[in-house]
Amino acid sequence: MNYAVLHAPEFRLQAAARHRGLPSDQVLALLETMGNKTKVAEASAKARHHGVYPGLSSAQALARCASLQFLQADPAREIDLQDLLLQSATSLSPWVESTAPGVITIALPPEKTFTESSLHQILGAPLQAMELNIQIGVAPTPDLALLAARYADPVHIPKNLSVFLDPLPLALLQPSSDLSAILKSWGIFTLGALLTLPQEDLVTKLGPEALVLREKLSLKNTRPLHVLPPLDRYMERMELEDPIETLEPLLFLIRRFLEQLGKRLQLLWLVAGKLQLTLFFENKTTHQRLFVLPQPTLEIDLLFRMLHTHLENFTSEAMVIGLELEAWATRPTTDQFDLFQQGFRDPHQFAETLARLEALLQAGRVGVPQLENSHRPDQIHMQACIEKPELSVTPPLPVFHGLPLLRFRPPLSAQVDLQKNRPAFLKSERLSGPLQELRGPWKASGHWWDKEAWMQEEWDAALPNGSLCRLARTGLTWKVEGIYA
Amino acid sequence: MPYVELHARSAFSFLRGGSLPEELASAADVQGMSALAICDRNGVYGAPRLHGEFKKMGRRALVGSELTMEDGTVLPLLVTNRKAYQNLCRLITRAQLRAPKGESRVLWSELPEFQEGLIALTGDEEGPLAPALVSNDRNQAEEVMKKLLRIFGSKNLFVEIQRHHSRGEERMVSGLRQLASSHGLKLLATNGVLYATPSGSEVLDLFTCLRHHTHLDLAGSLLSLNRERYLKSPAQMACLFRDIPEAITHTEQVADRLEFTLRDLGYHFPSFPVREGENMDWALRRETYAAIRERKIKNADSKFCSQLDKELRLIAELGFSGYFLIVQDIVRFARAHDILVQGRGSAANSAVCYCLGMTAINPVKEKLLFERFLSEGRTSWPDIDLDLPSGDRREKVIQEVFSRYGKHGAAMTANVITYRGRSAMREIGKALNFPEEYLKRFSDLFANGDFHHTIEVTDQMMKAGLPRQHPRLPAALRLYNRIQGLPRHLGQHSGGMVICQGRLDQVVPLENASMPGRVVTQWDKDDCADLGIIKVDLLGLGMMSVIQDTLKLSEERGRPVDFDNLNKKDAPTYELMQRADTVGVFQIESRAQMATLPRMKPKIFYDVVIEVSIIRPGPIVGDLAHPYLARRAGKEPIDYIHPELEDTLSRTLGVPLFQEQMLKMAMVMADFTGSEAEELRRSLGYKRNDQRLNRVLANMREKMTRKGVAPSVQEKIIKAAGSFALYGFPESHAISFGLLAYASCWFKVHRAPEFYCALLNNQPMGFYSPDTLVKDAKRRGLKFKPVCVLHSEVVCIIEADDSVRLGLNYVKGLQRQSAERIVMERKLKSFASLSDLLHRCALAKDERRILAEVGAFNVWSHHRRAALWEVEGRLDTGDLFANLPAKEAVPLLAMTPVERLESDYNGTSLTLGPNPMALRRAVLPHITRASDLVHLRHGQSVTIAGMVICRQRPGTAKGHVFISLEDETGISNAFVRSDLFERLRLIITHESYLEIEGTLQSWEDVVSVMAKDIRALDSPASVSAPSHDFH
Repeated sequence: MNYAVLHAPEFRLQAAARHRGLPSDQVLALLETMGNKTKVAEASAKARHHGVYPGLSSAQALARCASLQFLQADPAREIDLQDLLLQSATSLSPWVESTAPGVITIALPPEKTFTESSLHQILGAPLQAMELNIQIGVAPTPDLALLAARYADPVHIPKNLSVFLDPLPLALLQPSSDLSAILKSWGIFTLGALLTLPQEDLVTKLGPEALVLREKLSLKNTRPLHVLPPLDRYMERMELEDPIETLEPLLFLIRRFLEQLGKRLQLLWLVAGKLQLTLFFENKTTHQRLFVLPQPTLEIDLLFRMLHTHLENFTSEAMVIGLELEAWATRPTTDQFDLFQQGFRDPHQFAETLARLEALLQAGRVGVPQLENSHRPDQIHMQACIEKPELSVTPPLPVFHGLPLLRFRPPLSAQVDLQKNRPAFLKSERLSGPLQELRGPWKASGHWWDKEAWMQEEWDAALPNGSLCRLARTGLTWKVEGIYA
Repeated sequence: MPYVELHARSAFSFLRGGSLPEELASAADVQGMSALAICDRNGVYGAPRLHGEFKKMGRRALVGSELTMEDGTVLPLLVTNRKAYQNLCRLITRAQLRAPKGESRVLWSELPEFQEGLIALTGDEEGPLAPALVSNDRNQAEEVMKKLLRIFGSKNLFVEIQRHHSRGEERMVSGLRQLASSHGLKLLATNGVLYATPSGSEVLDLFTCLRHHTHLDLAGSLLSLNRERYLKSPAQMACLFRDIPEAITHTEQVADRLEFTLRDLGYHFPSFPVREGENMDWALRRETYAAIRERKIKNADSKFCSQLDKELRLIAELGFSGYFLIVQDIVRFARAHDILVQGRGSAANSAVCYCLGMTAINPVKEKLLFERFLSEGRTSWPDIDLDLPSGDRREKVIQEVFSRYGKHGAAMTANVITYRGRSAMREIGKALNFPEEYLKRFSDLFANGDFHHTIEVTDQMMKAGLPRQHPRLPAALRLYNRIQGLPRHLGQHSGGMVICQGRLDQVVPLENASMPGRVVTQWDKDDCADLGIIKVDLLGLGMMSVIQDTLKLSEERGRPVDFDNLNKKDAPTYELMQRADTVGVFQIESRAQMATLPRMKPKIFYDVVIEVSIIRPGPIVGDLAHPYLARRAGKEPIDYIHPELEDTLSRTLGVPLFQEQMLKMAMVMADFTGSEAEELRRSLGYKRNDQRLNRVLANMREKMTRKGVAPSVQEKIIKAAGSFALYGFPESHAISFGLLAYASCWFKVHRAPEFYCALLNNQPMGFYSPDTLVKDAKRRGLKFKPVCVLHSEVVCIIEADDSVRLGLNYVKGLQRQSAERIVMERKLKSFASLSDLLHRCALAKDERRILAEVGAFNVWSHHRRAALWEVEGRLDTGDLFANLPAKEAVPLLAMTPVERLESDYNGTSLTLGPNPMALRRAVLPHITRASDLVHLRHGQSVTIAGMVICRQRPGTAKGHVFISLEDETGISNAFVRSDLFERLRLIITHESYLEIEGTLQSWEDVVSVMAKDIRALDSPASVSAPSHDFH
């Protein structure tokens, strides 16, 4: 049996670059913080050409290449990319192992024969079309296939293994840093040099890791693959030849994606718990929206309605050139209400109603208000209704023993006449008259560090009809914030 | 209505206050407040500065402190009299010394012991009553009130009320009024001031974030509600408390009771024990004259003796005899313990100090101005700074002072670390929630000196990646400017010690230093000096250690040197200086010094003194270095500024180089009295701000005008004074340093093996790395031998053939104990084989590997890799044949020269093999070698390359940079203009090997390259020796 390895060099860099829409052939470097220092962890081929190598500090790297772009590792995108590689690999064989980040090992079906060009056509070219840098190697053992893949450009099937291995750098075996340092101090830099060392001495002096390293070069060193269990996320993705300008064709594609996902999940007796829609636009921007389903389901009509409602109210400046729909799979019976979730007679209907409301009122204006930890009066944000309340971030409420305030939302615009710099007369839509008694001012300010800086002065005032109200002044603008009950 | 603010915190409350005491003082001045009390948290850190400012304004600086209690509440205390002050200091000291730094807590149970004379306030939102009032727990509030009453009594306890326009505060005020009324206590209004002006609240918010390790977006209600806690005027406060006017009037009554100010500190320098029937003045006279005989001082003629009498009389008049005796006692201790000691600074102007062995210069012979050291107008104590060998020997002297005066009688002075440049931006960036990556880049990019005349902070920030339109950029810039100079934390001064008659902890609170066994005062050296607290500087100098070690080695090798009577007319020593062959010597080894030496061509000792002083930021700022050299070379006529100054300036060819000359000029041209000259001296050395100097200079100008001095002459004199203000350098100090510079050159010429061996054993020090020092020595013909387990000691030694053997201390990663074990085992019985050594010395794996890698086992192995092969693997401790030589075949190839070089740099930071450039020379035909530069003509285009050994950007060089490159033939120097540096900053600062293309500058035997382009050189080796950068 032969093994193929699908290898994405500089995997973390590629994952981060892909997310930012940067082709990996640009001058890029991935930074990583080690202790107090930030160092280059991975560099693109073009960056390496400028002398930027892993281990350099960010400043050193910039010194060597002023046009270098830095990226930060993005674990979520790395998972996405690994999934993509896995899914691509399954097109070759069902026996697929996620060996390491950026490394997929495939047990090739014995009945089929693959050449470098056929492998490139089946696996390499589609991934390269997605601007991914992929290398593929084939050999009689998984480890040798990995070595071939690391050496490949972009596909390599070695004909004579010993000739192939001899000049390869030791680093391809990725020994631990300790072992690597010892071998370096011994002057062992290639696999050929490693093979010249007596195996017994090697093990006596360097322990089992050295043996493992040597055995990776052996033809006998096959092993069963850890074939992957079913995925928990399923994705449909399409890059469009002709950009889409209107909603209709987009909905058509989405419907098709949903049906395909539905079939794949149905085969495994799974349902969708969450859906994530990503749209790619011509101007290199993306739109991503996660739909948390109130109850896991596989009802395509219902899922479609939810996406439809969202897209109906969505507009973009650029045309859509690609889309991706991902479903989080779950078992139909695994969900259970927790203490803070309420049961609905028709949770999907509720979710849909909320979506319609949000479409009407704009995003962020539907949900449960949560008080923010700020001195700014009445500072809140809306939390989605079907999420758990953010108990941990709710600030402790100050203990007040005064009258409760009934707030006007939004506050009433008002005109206030001043006497000796104190409010004397109020004119507003609902409350007007001379101010008979005053308390204040109470002053508050904040967010001075950016454009949202605010400053407010508050007064409590009594009107002749006995009502007590709260006035607030921001700059020259007066408002009636509320009345005391 | 009169009002005195009695509860203010300064930035010396460390992250709990937003303004300096000086800012609070000027705000109080503007508001017309007659007095102000700063109550810093757990200390009286800011009190001296407020005192100093208020003294000038004729106002009273009241003293107080906020104490953190064991339950976390904060109790403000105010000081009524000296006894109360002593109590407060002792209480703070006790709490500080028993807790880790920054975590002091006062026990309620210990308050009664120290309450005498202290007035307590019930505090603000952190006060002891606050928790009970917030939770509306009347019973608990009563309990706390009773506790406070029991400790302080009703006369010394005031109920503090504050109003900050915050909703809900009236409940607190009303609760406090009820409590005051029920206990018959008086109300006292304060504003709980945290900053001088409203804008200070931004700084406080920044500090709040730093204190809580959060950022502004998350800090929420931790931040200031509004900007009301600034220093308000009496009218504003009266308006705020118009319903409780008595709370305002009580502030003045309390302020009247606070009689104590820092003028009444009660500090006394310790008396020195003298013989019965003798006083300290007599004892000093006896010791001085006895020393003339004991030390066999030459030239002690009548002139010298009359100077001694004059000095002794003045010392006695000023009451400083005890001080001299105590310093002499420290010097005596050092000498008795074989510790080299030499005074520096203005003490060298004193014949008494010379006789007592504190200084090495005869001031009469050198015509030094005694008034620079001590004058009749002097109110503060004179400075006697002692240079000691750095390291253990200096620590021994410091610990001796601690043991003599006790933990509460002596302390190191503090050193206030302030927010500057990168540290400021880093903290601001954290609080503004800038990405960590941006902050790291800012630090990385500008790690080596920020020069605002070459790059603005806004540009720096943008270069680091912050867009100009970033919404938080204005706030960042605002904060950056505001927090410059604000205290960040309290460190300890490098060597300043204060001692006291009796308890120092009654004069100033003491706290633990981060270094074990050290105690620091809460005030820095300027504060101590301003308050008349005497300081003895025990400074560590690496060169003193080198000289002491060189003397010892010379003696051991049978060629001792009489250091006190070193021949100062030694021609080979001056020739060395004239050639600028001064790598490794004291002071005159820097790039700038080496560029001046061939022009200066020192011929006598005083030339060395001038050389030491001339390459100082002061003279360069004042544009004085070049005139001196030009005049010396006869290219420019000598100008004494004014005929009356000829006597003062003749030694420096009319160029004022020393502070003494400056003082004399002021005395001659402006008729300054001794006191005025003293004030000029102090203002020249006062680095905090230039207002003080400006006042003195204005006086000087006025007096010169009155005297009819021409404006052009006045201008020259004032300009000279301005340049000295930044970097004052007295002549006596230059002489002391010149002596060390001369001596180190003498040793380099006449005791080279001993000198280099001592230099290597005292690293890190000086400008150059051990690698450069070794290469310099080798160029002088000295031999070095590598680290070897059979021959090396723990430190470097000189072997019989005059070669220096590197010590095991140079092997990176080899523990000191392991090195000592190797030497000890070898002395017990010689090692038979590598295996024998490994069995007997129990070295860690990494230690075995590194010793093999640097060739320390080569005596048994054919090559380093053979040893590496042999040391690998598990050691069988029960192997009976362990001491037999190993016979296994080694399958590894020997290291190549480049690999050996890399191993050397990796393992010892230096190589005894070829310079890395020698290995690349064949492929660098376009590069001119360092030694060939002298043969090229001025103005010729040239390219140099090498390992960077030094990058310098002197503060006075307007951002220009000097780079030294080393190749196999020597050192070449390049000058990089600031614009080129800014353009290629990263290449210059981060590459270990550089190729510099430019134009040759050859002038008066000084050769350098004016850089036009700089590139990273494809490294001959993956590692290099460390360079000395931007020091």
